[in-house]
Amino acid sequence: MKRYYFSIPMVLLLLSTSLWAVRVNAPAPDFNATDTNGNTHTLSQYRGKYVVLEWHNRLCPYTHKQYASDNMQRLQKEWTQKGVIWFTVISSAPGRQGYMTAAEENAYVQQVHAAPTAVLLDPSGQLGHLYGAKTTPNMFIINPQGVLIYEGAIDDRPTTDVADVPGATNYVAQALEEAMAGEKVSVPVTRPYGCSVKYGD
Amino acid sequence: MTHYRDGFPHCDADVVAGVNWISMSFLLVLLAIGASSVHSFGAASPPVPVKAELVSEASAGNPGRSLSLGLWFEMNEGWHIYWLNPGDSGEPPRVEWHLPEGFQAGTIQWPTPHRIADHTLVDYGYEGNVLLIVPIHLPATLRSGGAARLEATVKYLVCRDICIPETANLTLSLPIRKGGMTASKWRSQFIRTRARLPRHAPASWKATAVEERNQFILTLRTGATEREAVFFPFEVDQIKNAAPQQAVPLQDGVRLSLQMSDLLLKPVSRLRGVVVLGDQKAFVLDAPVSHGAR
Repeated sequence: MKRYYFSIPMVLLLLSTSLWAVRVNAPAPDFNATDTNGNTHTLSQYRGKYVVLEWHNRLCPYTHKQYASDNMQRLQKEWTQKGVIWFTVISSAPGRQGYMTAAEENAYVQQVHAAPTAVLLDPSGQLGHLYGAKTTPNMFIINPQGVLIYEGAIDDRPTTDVADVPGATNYVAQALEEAMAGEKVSVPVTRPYGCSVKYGD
Repeated sequence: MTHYRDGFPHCDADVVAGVNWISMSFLLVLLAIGASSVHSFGAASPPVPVKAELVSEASAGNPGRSLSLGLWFEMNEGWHIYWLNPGDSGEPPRVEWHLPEGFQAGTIQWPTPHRIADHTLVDYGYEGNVLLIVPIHLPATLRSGGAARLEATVKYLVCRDICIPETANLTLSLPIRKGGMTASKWRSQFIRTRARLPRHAPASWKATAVEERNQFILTLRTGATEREAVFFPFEVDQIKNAAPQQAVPLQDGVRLSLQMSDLLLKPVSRLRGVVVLGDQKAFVLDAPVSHGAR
């Protein structure tokens, strides 16, 4: 009977904390990307800081909901002030919706008073595929040790309705608050909702 | 979860089927000429690539009985709306009913969806035209002779390479008449749509799944060799939607390999969804998942 040392519930518990977490709680893949001002950023250079990745397409109604309500800008301001590195990432391929030149994007950032650390341009979709970004928005949080601690939706209201923003639970703010307080992230993975990321072939 | 069934839900199919169709056609022509008694108004404005309409299978409602309403979507080429599990992106249509007192609306009967590929992602939905059937029950206290105003606020997302969120305020004036049900001009569309609703899997079938590494191996035993199978899960993010589904015919069924979603944090205990076999035959499956040796 010795070989049944691990009870089934125990095995399930072990599995549920390791094998199912395919990406979250594992080291986030390093990247090298260029922002709209021509500067390059790697993930590894920000070891010691929290990094947020926000997949973005300004013409997507789900993205629009977050910017028209000023919610995304508020989050960017609040968390960058607390030392978080916030990258807005555009993975739209040339010719597809949401593709922006550096100049166009800089004008937009100014116009809507967005406040990310930088906007990374990813027209090849390389960064998007590396993280498996599916939708806009799709949010990822990497902790100071370089471990992915959250991936998924921006909040719990998968709609395009601006009126849904105030009552929503914002998963990104919740995860950052918990992690910074030394707590376990209570909701580490959610289904991202939104428009598909407009990748090239 | 949505209740799936064939035939005429909560309604006497015989009554409708037993109508004399020739005289009914004549009646319908008269109704059409005399400013059709079943009005419906789509609220979609011109640049929108989809027309939404609230329609009824029967030309009149019977106090104390049920009938089928439908949300009819007519999409321009290349545009699609979503199934109850939209796949990698998008969202399913949502309905808010505004009905007279005593009227009860059921849930949407979702026709079998299609896989809609967008570069590296896969969504589940409908292109072209689709009718989402919703049964409603009429109160017995309803007086014959008048008309009931039925209203539905439908929020839906319609996408091609881009997405447009829409809100349609749809109305239908339904005459109330005692007696046999007579068909509206939409009747044939309801019949065609019912043929596309997934059926309950026969009791003799056996569906089981084993979780192995990063895959679910779904085995469906139907008693005959099945050469094709595509699975659409009801739950979001159980499987990698864009991954190819490998179907291996068995002597008495089919075995399907499904890649597990990267977003799963907990073991999946059941795979529930629709399986589409050859000839587009679709069935609702509920397969318990066992966690095989690793």
